[in-house]
Amino acid sequence: MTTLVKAPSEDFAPAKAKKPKKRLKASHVATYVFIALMLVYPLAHFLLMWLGVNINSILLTFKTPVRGKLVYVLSTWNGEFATFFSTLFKNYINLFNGFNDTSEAPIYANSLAYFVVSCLVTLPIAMFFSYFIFKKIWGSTFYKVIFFIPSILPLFILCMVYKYSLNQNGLITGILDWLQVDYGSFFQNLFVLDDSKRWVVWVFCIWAGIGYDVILLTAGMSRIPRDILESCKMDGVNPFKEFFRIIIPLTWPTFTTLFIFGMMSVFSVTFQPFFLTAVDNSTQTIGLYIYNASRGSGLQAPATLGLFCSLIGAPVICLVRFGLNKCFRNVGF
Amino acid sequence: MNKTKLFVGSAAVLLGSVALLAGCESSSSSSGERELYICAYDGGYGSTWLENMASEFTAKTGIKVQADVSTTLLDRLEDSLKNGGDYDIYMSHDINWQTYAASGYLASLDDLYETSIDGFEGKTFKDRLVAGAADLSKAEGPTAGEEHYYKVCYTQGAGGFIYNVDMFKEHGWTVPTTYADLVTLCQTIVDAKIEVGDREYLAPFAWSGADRQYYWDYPVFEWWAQLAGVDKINTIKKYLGPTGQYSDGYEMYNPDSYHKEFLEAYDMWWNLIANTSANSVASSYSDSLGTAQSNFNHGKAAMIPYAQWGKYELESTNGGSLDFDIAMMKTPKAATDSADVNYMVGFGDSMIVPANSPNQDIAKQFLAYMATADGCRTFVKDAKGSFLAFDYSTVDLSDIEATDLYTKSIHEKLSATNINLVSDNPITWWNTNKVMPWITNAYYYTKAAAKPADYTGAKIGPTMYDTAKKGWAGWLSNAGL
Repeated sequence: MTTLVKAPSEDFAPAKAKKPKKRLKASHVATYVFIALMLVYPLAHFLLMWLGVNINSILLTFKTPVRGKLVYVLSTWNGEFATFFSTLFKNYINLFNGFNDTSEAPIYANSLAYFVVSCLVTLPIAMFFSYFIFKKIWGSTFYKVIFFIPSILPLFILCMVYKYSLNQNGLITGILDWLQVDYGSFFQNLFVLDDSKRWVVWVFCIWAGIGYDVILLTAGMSRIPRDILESCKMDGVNPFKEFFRIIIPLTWPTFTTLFIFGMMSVFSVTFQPFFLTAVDNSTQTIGLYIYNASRGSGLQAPATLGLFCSLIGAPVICLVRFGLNKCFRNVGF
Repeated sequence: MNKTKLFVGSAAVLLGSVALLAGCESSSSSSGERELYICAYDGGYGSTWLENMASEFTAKTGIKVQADVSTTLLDRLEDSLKNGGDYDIYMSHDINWQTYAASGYLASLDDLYETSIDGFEGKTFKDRLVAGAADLSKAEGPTAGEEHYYKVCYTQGAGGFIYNVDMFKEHGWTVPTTYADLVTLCQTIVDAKIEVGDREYLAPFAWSGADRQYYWDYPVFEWWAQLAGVDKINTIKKYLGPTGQYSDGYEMYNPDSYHKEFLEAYDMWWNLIANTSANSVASSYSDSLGTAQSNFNHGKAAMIPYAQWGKYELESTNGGSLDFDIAMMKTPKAATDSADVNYMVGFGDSMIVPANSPNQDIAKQFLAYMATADGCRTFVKDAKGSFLAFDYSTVDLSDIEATDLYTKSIHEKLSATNINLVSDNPITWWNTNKVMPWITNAYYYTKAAAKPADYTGAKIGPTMYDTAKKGWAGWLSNAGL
């Protein structure tokens, strides 16, 4: 043992002993090169597309336009201590002042409405539909396809199909005319009045969102072992109880994921209102505002709003996820 | 090894060739002749005028011109100005030229403004522009405190009511000269119950609430100018409050003082259209522009609110010339004693030369050619009645006007006192969609037609004032004021 410890000494280590060491080093180099090469792309992608973009966005929140160019806010500071913080956090102050600006305020209310639309309306409806499909009711395959189609079509096409079905000379009015139903100016006002426009977009989001949720939920339900359901049947559990006591708890991880996605729609709904109602204050969302504002040169305002939303949204979403995971014990099957 | 060397060598040769080719000037032809590249927004003026003017310019100077029109020009303009684009002149609406000038993206046009124009002895380019155009084309460049000319006003516009001349003649209707006459005419048309289809009667107006509700601005702004006076509008455009400071500039929206006449003008429209649904084709407020055009083209309405590009667009939709003559009437005056006023639609549209253009000299030569009598005539003829922002008082259009009633009517309308709402105040260009006569760019015409009682002047005035007050501090901050 002692001799082995002394192995590196020169008199005890002839040329023979060095050879395998060299070989080992060479193979290590090749391995390192291979690993390095494999890591170059993801690392560069991370540095450039995530770290770089995020650092740039954060820096943008401390910039202000001066004669057409964005400069750091502190370069506009007048040197008085009293104005230091108001200058440094100018964009954040503008953002908070904007909450009082009635022209921009609807974007927050409009965006929060998508939490209700996605999580409290679309998801429960999708849950019920998924259950019916899972129970293989008559025509379930047909319904599956019907729900699936909106999820595979491009958003723009889906929006146009929906819009032209609902407008005053569209498919629906055609059918109602044929049935001689008097609908007054309902369809004419649909894309004109603020409230109607909001409803049009919400209903679209429900219609187009159900399919996506149904696909994931039916996939989750199909994994539930049949013997559990058969055992329930033998115990005389009715479908209502089966849905609430068996299906929901066993598909809870999928439900949680979809609920989180639904919460994220507060920030992510962008092009649905854009395609259906164009840029309109009554339907503008946070996402659409950021998209529009980013097309100009005043990038500091959308960057500040984006950062603010991340700071508020991320912990809320994490908290909700934590809470939802506590609702039912995760069961492996 | 040899193969590797061969591969590396070939790649180097290929890259070298690409680099050499990339280094070639895109604006020079292979024979070394200089070529000018122009891009114009593909809107209501079409492309014929640009092609013809380019040909005339080439015939005169020998300089080849490649002229393109595009509907996506604005999407890539800033990037082209910043990083180098393919064009030496850009022409469009909504060019944020003051910002580009401050960023150093635009070529100074000072020398162009002093250039003598062929056929106008002793007159410079600046002298050829319509009143006010030169002042609105100056801005600070990249060096603070130094102002230069960075753009040329593109068009001088006319907007208002286009009417079916043949229909007016057939029914013996006279063109109204006052608002009261217009109300009477509308009543006459409605009462006549002229059938134009299955249970459909001729309506006074066809208009598009879905796409072009802002076309109603054109008569409304003229009524506003007549009620308030041009001086008051010029005061409002400065957005300086009663104290002479920007800080209370929102007072320009005070419904009891500065904005009072604007709301009165809006109420005139409200009474005419929103509160009298029979004056419009039934579906107008939710119609697309195409439907509104089609309704007018097919004789379902006697008038349509439009601007100078109306003839070009109506004919395009119709797929050729209309079956009847059209003309733009002088907007019926708010009161009998009001003076004729013309709201210059699209006066803020711009022609700019990028600072990175290698052909700035020939670009300026082309712009100078546009100011000549030939250039001005070509535009009017090929854009079907639209006028460039040059003085047409000495340009002979008699042969065009002899056969084209529409061009003649536009020309006559432009001879009135011209007003524009283009402001040289930073708050307007840094808050493009906020500070306008319609604050935050929110129009009420369509909504008012759908729900008249909810959108009277008395109701929208305080709303606009409140919005201005709440947003003002942020907008000033955006503008660096």
